[in-house]
Amino acid sequence: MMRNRIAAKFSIGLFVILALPPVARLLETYMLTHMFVQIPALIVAGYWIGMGLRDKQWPQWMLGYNNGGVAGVFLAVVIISYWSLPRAIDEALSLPLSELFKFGSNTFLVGIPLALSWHKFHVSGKAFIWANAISMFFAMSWLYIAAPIQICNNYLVNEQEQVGKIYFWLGIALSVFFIGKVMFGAPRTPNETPSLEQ
Amino acid sequence: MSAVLETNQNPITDKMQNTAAKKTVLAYLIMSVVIIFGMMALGVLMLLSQGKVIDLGPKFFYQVMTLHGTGMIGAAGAAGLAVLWYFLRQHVDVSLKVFVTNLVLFAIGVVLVLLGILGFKFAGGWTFLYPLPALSVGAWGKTGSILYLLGMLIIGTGFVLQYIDIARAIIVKYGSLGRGLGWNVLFGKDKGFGPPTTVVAATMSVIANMTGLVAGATVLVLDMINVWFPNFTVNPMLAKNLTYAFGHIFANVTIYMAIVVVYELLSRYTGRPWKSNWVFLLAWTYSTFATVIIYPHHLLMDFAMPKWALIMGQILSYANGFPVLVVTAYGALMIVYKSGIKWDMTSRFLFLSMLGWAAGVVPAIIDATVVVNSIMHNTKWVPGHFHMYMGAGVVTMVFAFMYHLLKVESNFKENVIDKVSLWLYFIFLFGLSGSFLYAGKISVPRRWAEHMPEWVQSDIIGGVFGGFVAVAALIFVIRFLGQVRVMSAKHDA
Repeated sequence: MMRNRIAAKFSIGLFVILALPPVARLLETYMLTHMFVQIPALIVAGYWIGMGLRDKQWPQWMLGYNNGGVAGVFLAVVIISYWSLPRAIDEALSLPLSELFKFGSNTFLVGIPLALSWHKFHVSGKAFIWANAISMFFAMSWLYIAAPIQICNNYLVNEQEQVGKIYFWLGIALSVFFIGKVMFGAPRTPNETPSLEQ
Repeated sequence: MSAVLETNQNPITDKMQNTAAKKTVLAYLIMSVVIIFGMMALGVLMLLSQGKVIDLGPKFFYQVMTLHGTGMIGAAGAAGLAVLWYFLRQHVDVSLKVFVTNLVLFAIGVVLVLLGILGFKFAGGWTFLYPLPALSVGAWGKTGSILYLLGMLIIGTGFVLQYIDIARAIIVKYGSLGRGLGWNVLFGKDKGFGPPTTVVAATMSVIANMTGLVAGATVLVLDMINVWFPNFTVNPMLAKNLTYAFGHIFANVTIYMAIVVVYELLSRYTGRPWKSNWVFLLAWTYSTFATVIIYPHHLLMDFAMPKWALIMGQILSYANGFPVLVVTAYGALMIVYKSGIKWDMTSRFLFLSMLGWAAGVVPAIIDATVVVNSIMHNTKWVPGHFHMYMGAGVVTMVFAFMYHLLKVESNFKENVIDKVSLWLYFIFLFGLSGSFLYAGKISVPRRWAEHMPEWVQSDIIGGVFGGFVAVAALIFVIRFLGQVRVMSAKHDA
C-alpha cells in the first residue's frame, strides 16, 4: 500500500513532466515517439495514480457500477481504440482542445480505470482482450504500411511505415510472450484449483 | 452456481446431472444436425443441377454452394464442440456461461450469413477469397458481402471465447497447455501416462483452432475494409494464405474435437482403457503443429508461394497420416479386437467413423503430392476426399454421440429402422464420395455450375446417392428430435 502511494506521487510528477510544453513538443515531433512513448507514458502515469487510489474506501454505489471490472476495462478499451486512429493523432496536434483531451483521457480514462478494474476482470476476459489486441496490432500494422495515402497530415509517409513495423513487432512480441506463458506454465497442485462460477 | 463435474460411476449409462448444461448440449446438437440435414438437401440440389436434372441457374447455384460449404463446416464445428465440451467437463471446470454465449453468438452469425447469402445474394463461396467479396461484377453488393463476413466474424469470436475458456480450465488444472498435451510425460520428466485423452484432444484443438481463428479474423477484417474502401488493398497471396490457414485448420479441428467420443465411449464399451501413452501423446503433439502448418497443401498451384512452404506442406501432410491411421484407427481396431463389445447404434457409428476418417484422409494425402495436385487440383477429387472425411468421419461421430445421449438420457430403444438407416447412410455416403473421386479422375472441375455432357453421369449418380444419405440422416435427426423433451427433463437425484 505504501509502495502504491509513493508510485502514485511519482506518477503525478511524471504526468506534469509529460505535460511540459518542451517535453510534449519533443515527443510529438516524431510519430513513433508520439504513439509509442508519450501516449503509453500517460497511461502508465494514470495507472500508478490509480494504484494509489485503489486502497481508498469507495462508496458502494460506485463499486456497483464497476462490478468485475467490466465498465473500467470497457472504457479503457474504447479510449485506447480512439487514440490508435491516425485522425485522432492528427487532431491532437492541430487542435488544443484535442491535445488536452489526449492528456486527460489517457491518464484519467485509461490509466486510472485500468488500475481499478484490471485486477477484478475475469481471466477469460483478459485473455480475450489480449487476443484482440494482438490481432489489432497486426491489422494496424497493415493499415499503416499498406495505406496508399498519407494518413497523418502532420507526419511523413516513411514515419507511417515505421509505425506499421513497430505495430507488427509488438504483435509478434506479445504472441511469443503469451504462447510461452500458456504452453510452459508451472505445474499445479490439486488444492490450487479455483472454482469458476460461485 | 458451480459447474458440476460428474464422475462416471456407471460409464455407459451415466446421466448428465446438470440440467442446464445438458439442455445446452442438446441445443447445440439440434441446431447442428438440423443445419447439416438442410445442407445435405442443398448438396443434392447442386448435384442434380450439375446433372441437368433440375436447373438452379448459375447465380443461385453459387449462392447454394456458398451456403452448403459454410453451413456444413460451421455446423460440424458447433457439433464437434458440443461433443468435446460434454466429455471435457468431466475432467476440467469449463464454464456453462461461456458455452451458452458461444451458442448465442453462433446463432447470430448464422442469421447474418443466411441474410447475406439468401437476402443479398452473396455467392463468393465459403472461402470468401480476396478480392471476390468486393469484386462481384454485379452479382452481389457491399451489403451482402459485409453481412456474410460479419456473420463469420461473429461465429469466430464465439469460438475464440470458448477456446479461451477451455484453455483456462486446462491451465487451471494442469498448469499449462504443454502439460495438457502431456509434455511432462513425453519429454521425460514424469513417468506413466499423460492427462486423459479428452484433455489432450481439447488442448490440441485450442492451440490449433486459436491460430486458425486469429488468421480467419484477420482476413475477414481485411476483406471487410477492402469492401468498404477498395483503395485499401491486401497482398492477395497473404490473404489467400490467411484464408486457407483458417479454413484448413477449422475444418480439421472439427474432427479432432469430435474424436473424443470415440476415445471415451469405445473404451467404455470394450471395458478397456484408452490411455494417453507415449505414442498417443507424440501423435497428438505432432498433429497440433502439423495441423497449423500443412495448410500450404491447398496452395500447391500458387506459383508465387515460397518453395519451402510448398515442400513443407507436402511432406508434413504425408506425415500427418501417422497420428490418424496408426494411433487412432489402429488403436480403435485393437481396443475392439476380442473385447466382446456389444454392438449397438452408438458403437457401430463409433467404429465406422474410424473407417470414414482413415479412408477419407487417403485421397487427401494423395492430392497433397505436387505431381498429383497439378492434375487433381480444383477437380471433384477434392470434395471426394472431404465428403468421406466429414460425412463418414465427424458427422458419424456426432451421430454416435446423439445415439449415446438417446440411450442414457431417455428410454429410447433402437429398432430395425435405425440399423437399416445406418447402413444406408454409410454405403451411399461412400458411393457419393466415390462418385466425386471418379469425377476427379475424369478431370471434372469443382465449383462449376454448368457441366459438360460428358460429366453429368457422375453428377446424377452422386445426386441419387446423396439423396439416400440425406434420407438416412433425416431419420437419425427425427429419432433424436423425438426424444428431446424426455432428454431435456431433469432427472431425479
